[in-house]
This record gives sequence, structure tokens and C-alpha cells, in this order.
Amino acid sequence: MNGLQLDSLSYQNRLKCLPPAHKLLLASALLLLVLVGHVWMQMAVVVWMTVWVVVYAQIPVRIYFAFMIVSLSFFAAGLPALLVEGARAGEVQVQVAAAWELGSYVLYVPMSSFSKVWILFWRTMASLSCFAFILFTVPFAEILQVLRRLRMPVLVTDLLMIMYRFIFVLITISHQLWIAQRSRGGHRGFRATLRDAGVLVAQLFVRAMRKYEALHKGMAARGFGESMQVLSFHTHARSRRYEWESIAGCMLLVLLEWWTGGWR
Amino acid sequence: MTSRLLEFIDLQYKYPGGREPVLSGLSLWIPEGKKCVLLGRNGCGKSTLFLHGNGIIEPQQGQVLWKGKPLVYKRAALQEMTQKVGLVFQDPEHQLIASTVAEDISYGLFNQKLPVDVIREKVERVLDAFGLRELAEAPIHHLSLGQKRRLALAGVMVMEPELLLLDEPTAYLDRYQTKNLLRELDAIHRQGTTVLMATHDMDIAFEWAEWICIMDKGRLVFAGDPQEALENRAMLESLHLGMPLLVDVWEALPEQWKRELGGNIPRSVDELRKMLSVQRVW
Repeated sequence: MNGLQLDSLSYQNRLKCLPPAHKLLLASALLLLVLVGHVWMQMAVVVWMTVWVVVYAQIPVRIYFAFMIVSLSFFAAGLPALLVEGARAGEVQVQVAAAWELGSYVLYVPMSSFSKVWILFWRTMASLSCFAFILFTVPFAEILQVLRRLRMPVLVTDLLMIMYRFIFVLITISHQLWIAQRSRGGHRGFRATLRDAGVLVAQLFVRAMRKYEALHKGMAARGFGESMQVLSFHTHARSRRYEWESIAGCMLLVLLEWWTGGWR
Repeated sequence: MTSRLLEFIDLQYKYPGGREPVLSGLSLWIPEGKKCVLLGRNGCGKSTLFLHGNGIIEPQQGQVLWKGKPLVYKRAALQEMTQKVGLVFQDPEHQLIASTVAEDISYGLFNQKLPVDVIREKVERVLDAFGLRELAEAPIHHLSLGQKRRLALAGVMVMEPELLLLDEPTAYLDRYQTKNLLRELDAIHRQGTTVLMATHDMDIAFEWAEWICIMDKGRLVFAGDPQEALENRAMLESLHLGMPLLVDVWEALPEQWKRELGGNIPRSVDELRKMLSVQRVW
């Protein structure tokens, strides 16, 4: 899975015709609930969002899980720091799951950190599923339109728009360079791959600068003024069914949170 | 006499760090209302000249005149020039800015500060005229090269320029797309826009143009009627531009046929066919 694929999926998903503001509102409401709520409710959010992405939006399950796993790998990379603690030998007074002695110090995993990780894991999963919902179902151009309507500073939206264009220009260039290197016998073995990757990055920079200059001329030729404004042509239809489900679902989640002991 | 829409007088330009000047004393004018072609080999300064055409580059020496008046290199005046002179780059990637097709077409109109209703109406019209209606909401990086070219052209034509400059518009296009493009350019010309196309494709140049300019090494070598250029074979050959295929075919015909057909070299296959059907030479 790469950025390109994610982008084209967001343009083809089944929920594309829903108003982007509604989808963003749902995702941000859930994100807020996840941040203030507890594990049971977060689990419910993960399940519900997965249903939205996989069943309603018809995003292939494999791609959705790939996205979640790739993102969770960052969580995994942070695990050692969360689990392991250190102290002078003999000063450890908590229940310990595992311990290693290093001279006069001891590294240990306290029982209490498992529950911390458990809590963090579900919080991460739930927020990730909300972000996945946004990324898979709202095309970037529409996110921009919503930001513009929310009176986001013009500078920010302009920069986001240019960055979005440039990401794909750069992906295309780096792909072309990579193909060129491969077809001329590059990337053989570890050392060669490192060297070729270095050349690729340097070339990418040079070409990006050239592209930037050309784009600058292009914008001047089209009469660039102080800011970039564009007209949106997206046609959206509200859907009673989905609106009803979102509202009912959010209320249920609040109830669940209350019933399982949060906020009491 | 046809009036001079855009005129370059003794232009000199050298890129910073470049060894040779790209333009060295180029003088050239574009007749209003004609289909013009600027011929020249790669690197002869065509693209640089075009950037002078709407004021993006200020000449280091020489002058650019629009309808007889020199260009003013001030922000507001230049903004106006970019509306009057539409420039289509060789690489459409360089002028497509927004994220979707319809958004990109509207970009230039917003720079003109038109009311939103007017913009919407104009964009709608151009979407239909260029057959982009179905792609209106497609992101630009999903388009093919031909579609990107069409979009770049649409984004310029929506501004209703008086002069359209196209830099190698047929590069990398297949024959079918090239034909379509030329048809679109004909329609644009019929609606009153002067068109100047830079190319090195002799076949396209002589089939399509009503006025031909030839550039070499930053200078103008020839400007005038295409027929006149064709008769000057020695000049075309010395520039290594090659001859149009049709000219070679014409020259292979027996002398007597050529005389009977009127002596003028046909500009397109259709024209040759018509000549042959009217005047039965065999």
C-alpha cells in the first residue's frame, strides 16, 4: 500500500457522495470521545469505524488492515520505552514480570505497565481507525474545501494544496528515477542499493527544484495574484440512513461509556 | 495589411550562468487573426521567446509590443497581459495547480477576481467544450498526458485570450490525439483567437499554418507565407529541419503532372487528393 493507492481509493469509495463536512464531523466527534473515554468504548469505536470503512465504503479489507498495521508499528516501536524501567538493584518494590540485572542496576518490566500499554493500545487503535475513516473516504481536495469553509488561513490551505500536488509529482519522479536505475543495472546488492538510493535522493532534490521553478512560471502565466482560490464542483447528497446511524451510534457510545464506569 | 498583434523587437536574452545567449537580436511579429507556426529545432529559444510574450520574462535588451504599445512590467499590467496572452507550456504538469480538473480551470478566473457565479458558468461551458465534463471531479494525477494537455488548454482558454501561445503542443501525443488537438485549435481560431504554435514537426506546421516563422540560434530566419517557405528548399535544408513528407512526394511526381496541377505544392493530403480529382493528369 502506498500514498497513491490510498488517494485513488479515497476518490472511488462508496461514501464519496456523502458531504465531506459530515464525514469529518463524525470522525472528529468520535476522536474526541476516544480521547476522553475508556477502553470498552474505544473498542466499540474500532469495530464501528471498521464497519464504516470496510462495509459501507467498500475499502478492501487487506488494504485497511495494512494501513492499521503499518501505523501500529510506530506504537510497537515505542513499546520498550513504555514497558521497561530501570532502578538500582534492591530498590525495586513493585510486582515484576521480568527483570535483567546489569551490574549494580536492574532493568525490569513492572506488572502495572501492562495495563498502561493495554489502555494506550486501544486508544491508539481507536484514533487510528478514525483517521483511517477520514483518509479512505474523504478525498484530499474535499478536505481542503471544508478547511476553506471553516475560514482556515489562506496561507495554510494554499500550502496544503501545493504540497498535495507536489507529493504526486515527486512520487512520479522518484519512481521514474528508480526504474531508470533498475533498468541500467542498479540496486544490485546492499551497498549498491544504498549508493543508488543516495543518488536518487540527490537527483530528486535537483529535479524538485527545477519543477518548482517551472511551476512558478506556470503560475505567473496564469496570473497568480495574492492567493489561490478555486471553485469546487463536488456534488454531494445527504443520506438520512447514514446521518441517523451516526447520531444514534454516537449516543450509544456515550451511554456505553457511562454504563462501563467512565465519567461517574 | 494585417495588424501586428504582438511584436518582438531586437530581443536579447541570456540565462544567468548560460554561456550563449538564447535570444540574440530576435525581431518578429504575429499577424492578428492568423494560424501561425513558429518552427525551430530544439533549444533554438522558442520557449524563452514565449515567456517574453506575456511578460513573465522581461527582455534584457529589446522591446515587446502588444498592439503597438510596449509592455509595462508592473504587477497589475502583467496580470492583464496573462489574460490577453494565454500560454500553454510543453509540460502540462508545470501549469496545473489545483487538485481536481474543475478546480484547476477555475484557478485563472479567480486571479481575475470575477464574481463566483460568472466563474461557475464559464467553467461549466469550458468543461463541455473540451469534453472534460466526466473528469470534472477527477484528481489531476489520475489523468493521462493527453487529458492533462487538454486540461491545460482548457484552463487557458477559459480566460478568453486574444492570443494563444502553445509550446510544442503535439509532443508525445499519438496521431489520433494530435488530430483532435489540431481540430480544437481550428475551433479556437474560428472563434477569433490568434494562435501561435511552436513546433519542429514540419508536416503539422505546413498542413495547419497560415503564417510561418522560422527561428534558428536565437534569430528569426524567415517569416511569411508557408508556400514561400516551401519554395525556399535550400534554406529549410540548411537549418536541418527536414522537409514535409508531402513535399518529397510532390517532388517525386513527373514534371508534366506538376505543371498541369498548377505548380503550387499541396499543403495537405486532402488538398493533393482534391487537385488530382479535379485535374485528371493521368
